Amino acid sequence: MRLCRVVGNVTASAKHPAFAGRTLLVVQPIDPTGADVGDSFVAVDDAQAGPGDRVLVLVEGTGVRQIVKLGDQVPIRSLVVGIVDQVDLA
Amino acid sequence: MYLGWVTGTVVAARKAAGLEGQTLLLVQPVDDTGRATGDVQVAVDTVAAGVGDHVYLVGSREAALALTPWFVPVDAAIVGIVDDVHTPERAAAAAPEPVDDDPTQANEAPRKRPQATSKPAAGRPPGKERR
Repeated sequence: MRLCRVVGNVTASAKHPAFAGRTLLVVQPIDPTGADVGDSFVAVDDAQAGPGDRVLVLVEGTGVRQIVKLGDQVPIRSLVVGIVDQVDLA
Repeated sequence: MYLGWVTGTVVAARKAAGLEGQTLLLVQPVDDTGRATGDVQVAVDTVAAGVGDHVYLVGSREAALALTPWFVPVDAAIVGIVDDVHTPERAAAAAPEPVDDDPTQANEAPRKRPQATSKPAAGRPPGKERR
């Protein structure tokens, strides 16, 4: 899973049926200190996250399919699965 | 999953089984600010997108799951046409933020679709994982 910051949301009217009723977020990968790492990408929201939130993003399709429970044919790869309260660096 | 701009079409008369009748489009992956991220790639279209459309895609094995039948050799699929990307944080950091659909800011050019690079689309850039 990736530590990310939600930077915004995406609206789309024409989309694959698996995305019906789901919120799409733009997330920016960050390091534990909060600095941006790499390029932002799009993830489906499963944690009621919003812009500014630090989140956990699952970037792997099999786990996503287990969570969204739409069967075996779900073209979703990135899913926001948690909102991070705190990160402690040893 | 990632954002992209459709920059062209690809016609292939002979394709692998399962790809018959599928539309292939050239896509430049971009981030939320419109900056190109990586090389132009070919993606299968599932939402009737066209050249010039702002889209989002799914990569890797999940791309094949966007198609019916789904066990087909595809690693990028367009699964939605983007109406708007709303990023309040970036807007606050870089005012005035160029917004796609705002006619009052039509002269603010940056958020245009990127120019296709002349370099041939090679493999994935080192260290880039496909989302």
